[in-house]
Amino acid sequence: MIDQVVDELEREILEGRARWVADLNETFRDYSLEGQRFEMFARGQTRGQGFMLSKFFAWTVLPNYKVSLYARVVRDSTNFQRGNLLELLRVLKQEMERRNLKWVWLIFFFEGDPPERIGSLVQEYNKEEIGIGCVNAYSGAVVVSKNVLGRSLVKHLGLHHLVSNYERKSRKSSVS
Amino acid sequence: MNGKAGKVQFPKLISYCALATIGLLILFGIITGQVPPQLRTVVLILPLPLGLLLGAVLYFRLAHEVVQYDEYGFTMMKGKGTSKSYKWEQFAGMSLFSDSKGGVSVRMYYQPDGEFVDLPATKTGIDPFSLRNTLQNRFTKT
Repeated sequence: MIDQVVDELEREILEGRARWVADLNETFRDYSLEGQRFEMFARGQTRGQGFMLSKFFAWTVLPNYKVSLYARVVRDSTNFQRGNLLELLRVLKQEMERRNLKWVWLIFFFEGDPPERIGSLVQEYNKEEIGIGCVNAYSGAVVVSKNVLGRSLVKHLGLHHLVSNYERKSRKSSVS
Repeated sequence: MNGKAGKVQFPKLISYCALATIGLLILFGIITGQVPPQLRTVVLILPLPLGLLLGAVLYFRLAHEVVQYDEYGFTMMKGKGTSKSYKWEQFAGMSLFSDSKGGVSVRMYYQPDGEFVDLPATKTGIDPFSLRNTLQNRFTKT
């Protein structure tokens, strides 16, 4: 189930789900970064490609920031400590400097609710350059960081609809 | 793992037909300057069927994309003339890339973050996700 939800996130990103905040147009699976494995990695820029008028609007008005989204599946949440999360944030900050990324999203998928120690750390996180989200891959419940990028995971990326979207599509495909 | 996909890319076909029709309309407009006015309308209707026919011929000769793949590699054919073949072993990684028109390609990298080749997937009727998953399993095995 958890892998299918990550598949659904990738599918939605390639269909332009994130377009109101960024044009994430390329996705990788099983991406490794300094020994850290991410089940899915998407990259793009804030300036959308568009056509004619929207392209002109994007070119004249929107800044062209490079942005990325990393998704990590946590299968054993008992062994996932605050230190693991802080280490991931350190790795991502280094990657931001190396690749000149302006914004990064980090999404965790749990087989249940995220542990209290992780959930509270995510909710308290308020640095502007990384938005963090935790998704319960069974119930669809979401915890996000309180910074702008964290809130945009719900507001623009519709992370809270991800599991229900997946369930609806799998129901539809099983009926047909 | 064998397949050949060459779905007709209707937006491209329509643009070829439209261009051919407009081109023929202009040409017929110039040529039929001396024709009596009562015949001119009939002559100016001709560019539509001729344009559709010419557009379809041009599309299949110049722009129709076909992808053929097997366990060793893939060949991309464009129109009647050009075809390029690649072996899977030439590539070091892959991603899925969505273009501005919403089509998804499997992007094959020679080196991580280096040069790449786009294998048109949705345009030609291949499911990019299942092709990528098959290739990814193959890459991790080797």
